[in-house]
Parts: sequence; C-alpha cells; structure tokens
Amino acid sequence: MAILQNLPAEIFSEIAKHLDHNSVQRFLRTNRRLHKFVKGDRYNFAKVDIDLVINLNKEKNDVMSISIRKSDRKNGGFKRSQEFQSTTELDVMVFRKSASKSPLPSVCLTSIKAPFFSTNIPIEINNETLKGLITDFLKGARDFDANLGWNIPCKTDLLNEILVFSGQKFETKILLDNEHRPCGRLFELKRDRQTGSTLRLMWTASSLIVNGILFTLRENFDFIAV
Amino acid sequence: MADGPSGAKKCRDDDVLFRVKSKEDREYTLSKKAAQLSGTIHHYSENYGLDNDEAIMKMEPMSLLEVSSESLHHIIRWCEQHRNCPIWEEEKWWQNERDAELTKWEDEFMAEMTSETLYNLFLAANFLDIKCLLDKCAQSVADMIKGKSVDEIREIWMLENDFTPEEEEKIKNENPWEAILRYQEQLEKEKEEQASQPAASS
Repeated sequence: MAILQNLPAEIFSEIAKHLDHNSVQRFLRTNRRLHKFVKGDRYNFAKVDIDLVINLNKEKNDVMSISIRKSDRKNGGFKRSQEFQSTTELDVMVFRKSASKSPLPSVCLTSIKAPFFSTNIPIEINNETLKGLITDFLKGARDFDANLGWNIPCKTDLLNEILVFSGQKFETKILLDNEHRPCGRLFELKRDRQTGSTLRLMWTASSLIVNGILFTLRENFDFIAV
Repeated sequence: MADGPSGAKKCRDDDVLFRVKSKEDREYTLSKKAAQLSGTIHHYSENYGLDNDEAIMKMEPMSLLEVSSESLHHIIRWCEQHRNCPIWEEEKWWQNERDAELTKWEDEFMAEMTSETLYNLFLAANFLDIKCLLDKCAQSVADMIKGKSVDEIREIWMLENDFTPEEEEKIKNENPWEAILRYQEQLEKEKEEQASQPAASS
C-alpha cells in the first residue's frame, strides 16, 4: 500500500506546518502526485523568509560577499546581529523568497540598507545557482499582482517615465553580470500608500516594469531565456 | 451492547453516551464531552437536534462510513483522554500549558502507531475534524520526514518513485534555494562543531 500516495491537500498542509523548507522540498520530490503541490503552489512555507544578499563594493566595482539569511516569523523576524559589516562602502542587493501569504511575488528583489538585522554567512554561489535564483525571481515577477505592488525594479528610462507622473521615491541597485560583476543599475519603486492615484498609476505601469526587468536581465545575463 | 474501547468506558459515569458506527458497521460509544472534540459530530448533533441528554440517549448511531473500526477505536481513546481540555482555538494552552502527564500519554499513544495506522488515523481525524489529533498526527508524520533523504522518505511511507530519471534530474534543479540552504546548513553544522571543540577540550 502506498501510504501518503493519495494525500489530501489539506492534510499535506497540516504536515507542512511542522516541517522546515528543505524537508518539505524533499518530501515533495518523492513522487509525481506530491510534486504537484509544488507546481500548484498548494502549500505555504509559513515559517521562514529567505534572502540572498549580495554585498557590492562600489569603489572597487566588485562583489564583496554573497550570503543568505533566513527569518523565523515565529521568533520575531530576522535576528539582529553584530556580524554584519558596515555598509558605508557597500551596496546591498537582496533577493527575497518570502513566506508571506500576501499575493506579492514569492521571490522578489528588494534592498535592505539597514545593517542591523542580518546574520551573514559567506557562501559561494556558482553561475548555475545564480541563474536559478534569478529565473525564480522572474517567475515571481511575472505572477506579480500590480495592484498591490511595490519593490519592483525597472529600467531607468521606464522609471523616469513613471516618476514624471507619480513623484515616487526610489533607490538604486547594482545588477551583476554572470561573472558576478556589477553591470547595471536597477531602481526600486516604493508604493505610496496614501494616494489612490499613485496606486492606479503603478497598476498601469506594472507590465512595463516587469518587461523592464526582463529586458535589463536579458541584456546582462546571456543565460537568461525568458 | 456497544463495543467501545476500555479507555472510553471509565469516563461514562458522569456523561451521556454518543453512539457512532464504523464503516465495518461496528458500534462504539463515547462520552458527550469527548464527542464534542469532533467538529463533524458537533455539526451532526446540531443538524439532528441532539442538543440535550435525552435526545442523545435516544439517538440512532451516527454512521462514520469513512472511518475504520481500528481508527475509530484509537479516535475514541484520544477523545476521552482529552475530553476536559479547552477548545483548540485556545492556542496558548495547547502549545504551552498541557501538563507533562498528558503530553507523555500523547507521545506513547503515537508511538503505538505503525506508519499505516497513523496515516489512517490522520485521515479519520481529518474527516471527523478533531483539530488536536490532526495536529498531533501531522507532527508525528513530520517527525518521520525531517532530516530524511528523498529515498528514505519513500521507504518509510511506501511511496512509489514514478519519475523518469530525466524528470528527477530536472526536479532536483528546480529549486535553487535548496542548494544554498543545504550549504548554509552545512556551514552552520561546521560552525557548531568548531564551537563545541574548545569547550570540550577545556
């Protein structure tokens, strides 16, 4: 008898609540039917956010370090740590895989300047992994519901076009090429929660923004075919 | 006479008995308090006017066509043991305030289960909407999955590997986050080992 072979979705969700991310992934890879839960996004990694943090030295035009960090929502989010280096000479690019139940993309590019809530562990990431991370991010961006959108990077000219109308604040980011060298800049839009008109504008602009990301990435990452 | 498990009988003095029937048509009884742990039975009671002791005493057994006798036996044991516990929505109590004796009983109860019995119990708890048991089953299943490789999980849960080798390779590369998480876990483990070494030597 193939136990768990015909696992009802609601039961799987109950089990997943007690599992860490890796165990869920391994479990879902055991057979075809369980794997559909991944495809259908039927469960929620309710416990952790995962960030890929890329620290860049702007003066040396080089990558200082690449690290990941996890947050434990039950224990108050990201842990504070003194280990994080000063960011005075660094630009930080962060890919976040969010555990949030909100309709935001499951993976988005965000930037966190404040150095106080990170636990950094150096990590070597090869091009294949980086490619996977970015592809994952793009998949999230494509599924993005612009009505609720924020933290969406876009090309400079597109951003300028939007800024004319919206007066949005933005921050710059550096984009890496496949040798981990900074090769472009992305901009981050911040959602204005106060004015409805801004939200409407962002909704209108969303497809352009996503296309902007794809365009920028295609320009700089020859391995991305999206 | 009903065949309920002995665990149920000792609770019967101060409560009326609720009658249920397994899919094998075997009848069991459980105390009203214990029965109220089940959302399904609770709704059944509301729909069939079983809102007073007299009505319950006169009731026809409730057919549980999706629950085997074996699972029902275990379900009744669980419910009787938890009949005086607060409702599941009182999370704080369930998470932190259960006494050690009850927790020990629950662990022993789960330890009796084979993987197949546990799975059937899980399904039954889901059908009967017994949240505390559902959560305990989920925890037990999760404990049997944690830290295991894909092959080990397949073996424990008798899951058929129905992927082609090509598909399996593709799936492996599907989630790049896992690669970095695995790497991080390895680093954390090494860090812990390093940290424990000087302490051991001193």
